[in-house]
Amino acid sequence: MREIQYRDALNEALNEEMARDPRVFVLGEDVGRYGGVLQITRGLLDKYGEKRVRDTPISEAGIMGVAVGAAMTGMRPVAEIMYIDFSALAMDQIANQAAKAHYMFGGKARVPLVMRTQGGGGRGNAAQHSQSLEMWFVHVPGLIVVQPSTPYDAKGLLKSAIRDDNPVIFIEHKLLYSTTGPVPEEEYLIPIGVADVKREGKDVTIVATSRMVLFALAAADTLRQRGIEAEVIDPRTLKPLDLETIVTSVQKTGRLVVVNEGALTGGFTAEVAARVQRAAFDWLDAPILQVASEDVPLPYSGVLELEAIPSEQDIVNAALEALYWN
Amino acid sequence: MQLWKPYTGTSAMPTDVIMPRLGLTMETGTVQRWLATEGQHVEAGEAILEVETDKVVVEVEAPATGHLGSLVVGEGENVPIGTVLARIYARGEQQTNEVAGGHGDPAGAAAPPLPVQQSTDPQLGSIGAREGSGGNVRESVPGGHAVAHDVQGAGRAERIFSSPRARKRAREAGLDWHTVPGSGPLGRVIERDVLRAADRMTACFGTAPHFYLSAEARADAIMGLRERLLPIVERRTGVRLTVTDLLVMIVARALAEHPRANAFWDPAGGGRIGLHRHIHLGVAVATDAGLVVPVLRNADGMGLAQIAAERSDLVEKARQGRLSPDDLEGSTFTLTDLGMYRVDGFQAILNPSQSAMLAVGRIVERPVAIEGQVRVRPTMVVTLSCDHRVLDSVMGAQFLGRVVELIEEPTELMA
Amino acid sequence: MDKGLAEQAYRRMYAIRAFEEKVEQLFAAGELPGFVHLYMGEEACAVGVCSALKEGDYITSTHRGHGHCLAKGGDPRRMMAELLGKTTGYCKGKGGSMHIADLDLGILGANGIVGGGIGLATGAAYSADLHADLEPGIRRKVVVCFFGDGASNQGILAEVGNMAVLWRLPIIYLCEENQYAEFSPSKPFIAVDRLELKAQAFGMRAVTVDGNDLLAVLETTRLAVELARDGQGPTFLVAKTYRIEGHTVGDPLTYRPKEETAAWKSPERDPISRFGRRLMAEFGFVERDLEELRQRARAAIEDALQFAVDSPEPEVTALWEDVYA
Repeated sequence: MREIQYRDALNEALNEEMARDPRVFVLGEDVGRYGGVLQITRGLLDKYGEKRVRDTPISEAGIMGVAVGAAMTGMRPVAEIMYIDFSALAMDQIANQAAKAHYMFGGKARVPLVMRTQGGGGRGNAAQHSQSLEMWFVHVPGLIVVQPSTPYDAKGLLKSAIRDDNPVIFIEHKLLYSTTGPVPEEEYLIPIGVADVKREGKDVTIVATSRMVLFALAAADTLRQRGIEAEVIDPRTLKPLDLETIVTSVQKTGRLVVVNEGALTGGFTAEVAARVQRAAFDWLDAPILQVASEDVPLPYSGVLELEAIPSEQDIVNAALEALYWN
Repeated sequence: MQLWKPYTGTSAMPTDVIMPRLGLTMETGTVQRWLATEGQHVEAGEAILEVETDKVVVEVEAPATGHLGSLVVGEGENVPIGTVLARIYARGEQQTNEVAGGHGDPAGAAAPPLPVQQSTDPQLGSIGAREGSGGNVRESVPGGHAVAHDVQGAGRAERIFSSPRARKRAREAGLDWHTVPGSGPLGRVIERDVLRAADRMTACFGTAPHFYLSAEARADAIMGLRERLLPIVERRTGVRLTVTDLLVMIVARALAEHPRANAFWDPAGGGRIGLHRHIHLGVAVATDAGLVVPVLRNADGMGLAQIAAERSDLVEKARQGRLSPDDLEGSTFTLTDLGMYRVDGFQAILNPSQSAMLAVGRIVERPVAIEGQVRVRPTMVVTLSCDHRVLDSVMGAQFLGRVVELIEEPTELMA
Repeated sequence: MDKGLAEQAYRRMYAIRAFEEKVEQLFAAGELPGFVHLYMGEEACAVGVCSALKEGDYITSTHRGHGHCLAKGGDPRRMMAELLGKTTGYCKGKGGSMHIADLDLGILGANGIVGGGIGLATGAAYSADLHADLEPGIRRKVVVCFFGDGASNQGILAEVGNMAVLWRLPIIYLCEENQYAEFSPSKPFIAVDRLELKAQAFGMRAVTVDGNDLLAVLETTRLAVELARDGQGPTFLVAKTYRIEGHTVGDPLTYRPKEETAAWKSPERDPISRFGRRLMAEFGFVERDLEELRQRARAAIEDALQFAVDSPEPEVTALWEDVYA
């Protein structure tokens, strides 16, 4: 199977969906002529013209406001918010308008929009360009939140997100764009709300999101050398969460480590831990362990930044602790 | 980044000193002698009383530093395990009258504590208090390992912790998880503890398929050797050499040559044969309190005088009830000599951690055939019990044969 | 304007007034949960503007949205039921006064966030523009975005106003300058002396009209609508009017002088009275005709209330419905 980059997988998904459905259009800063800050939308302007690949002024609230209105009136916008940190500027449109229209208006209004954005640290982009804010959106009823970790997942999930009639927050990771992976030539979709067991194992379950999936897989390799077989699960959709896959795994292993790059407090790891302890209490042999970023704004200094975000070793340590090995 | 650390509890004072569980079937213990007095300052780890069970007298150490409060249970009193015997108070703390009426009931005072740890079996590993469980756990049994109720803290001594999965497993195995030694933090009983206990339970219930091999050995040579060595050993150690000592040496040598007789069946992972790394011979001794089996560690490396001296020492301790759990643990092979009774031979039942054991009957004059003539010579019947999962009849016969060979030609030990 | 349209306009204006009066009574009697924001005094804006629109055109409304919805053809029965939280309401009882919507009529919702409809309306205009490309020959839809002078200070207006001009979107930003913003007069919070000037900041054509003169509103809106449909981009239309009631029902109105309100309520200034006089002067109506129209309007509102009262509450299971499509 051919191997392509995560960014190219996204580009293909956009291209295919725009070709398939004339109601799909893209808008955001620098997406048209420039091809997108991270080149996700390159080549689309030439193919689909400026109304369907719309370069906007720097107006995040405006971008999302237009996306909501267009979605409510028959279009399927894919709005790009360059850094998830900037989504704060558009929170009224996302949380008060997009998330609620279908419910508030008695089920008649639909908001089939996708907000594509990216987060994550590790490049010294400092506090306002490195956050992982998925929980802001997970917390709002009415939104769907997706975080693909591989090119294969990225393409399949973006296509599904565009075809979904709900507002989808599609969170990429800045350090995943250049990663490569197998992606079929033929068309495929990945359903929203289904987790992926990326590695099977019987000794400990590791649930991880986005770039942390790669760390978890590396940790699993390290653990294997010590005779420990870890099962790595990538939820892919954070909301609605595929709890069943996680619980089935925990019933087998008795141990759970949850990894997410967002800050620890009020983060995704706490949400999963709370749900799993309720659903699988009797199958737990050890407390559920959380591996998350420190509760600090992310610092500029490389040494400090590395300390703040989770590492492969942190995951290994947590797994060992869950096994009472340390 | 740091991981959130588990809450390991506080070492809140006062700390209870409770009647420990020192054996699998122990239900009560007797305070034999207080070594410290009320009001005395004691250090954690210092022996403060002696406790007697049906087989053993053991020193109990202070679980904390402080001053000893009233001695709630007096010398000679027999109380259930878990009973608060006294309390240790930190500096400045006052003893309150809560201690009055302080025997408590086993259900209330402390959940039933746990059996003393099993052998430090190299294959199965040892269970004990680990680094990182907060350092609050102290051993109440000298030389033993932590048991769950050794955790410090007022009130905390009453709780045994377990993971939900462990409780589930215990339910499935028909075990009471309270009786399982816990290896997790704060003595938490975790899944592997329950699985181990379940294995042992099945093993103890004699699932080992036994078979027996008997042989009659001429004992004149060994008796003669004993006569000749008696004064030498006595001069060296002050101990009277016995035939048993020679048998120990013979069996140890034979075990070194036949490792399958020094092995065990490990049910984990579908079942496999584990070979013990060392030769620790248990030698059964009859005492007033019944049969005890102290262990001669690394018997294959001992000279005869050393064997005699240690054997004598252990027997003495056994008769006086002064054996420590360490003395009783870890045997890889057992030698039972019932020669002093009128028993010609018998078939012993294996211990779970052993693949074979040897029972030796009395030496008595019996008719034997020598060059076609009937003569009377001293002989002994030796019977080998084998775990069929570890040894087949040929292996058993080879081992037994070697033992008999060494009994009949003990000078071979020199080679 | 023909006679038929004139009748409908008068009736609708009066219906709005009657509806709001009824709602005020209900609220004062403790029959309504939440809060309500009454549109009384601004009827000429809503009706004047909506009379200029065709079926299929969109409007976005505000928290003070009953007037807009009725003006666009909203069913008073379903509106009243929604206010009473009944399952027969426009939003199945789950939206309430501030979130009434009828997508079939192009009403993209009242909105609880001040300025909340501004981004949305611009998106609908973007959609209308794209749609016109997809189906050439169909009439391009137009969007009217209602908002108040208070909302004109929200940042979103600057963002999407700029976009609307750049992309020539078919939208009219209808600023109802009713002189009050929540519990304060608006003037002290607006730095420019004419609201039109705000539109200049992003290069949008702007015009001011007497918001209490229905015909003036109608005419001006028609012009703006034509420009929009023709691809000539957005217009910022300021309609000067007056909010004769408080921000919400129960507002003690300590922040404005009673004489001022009385003046705006007088027949000289009241929009319904004014239009009534125009009808008599220019369309040959007599008082009896007007009274008959008022009766019909009142009857419709009574009927709406009865319908709402007779309707059932939602089932508990409705709580979890429509979170996702």
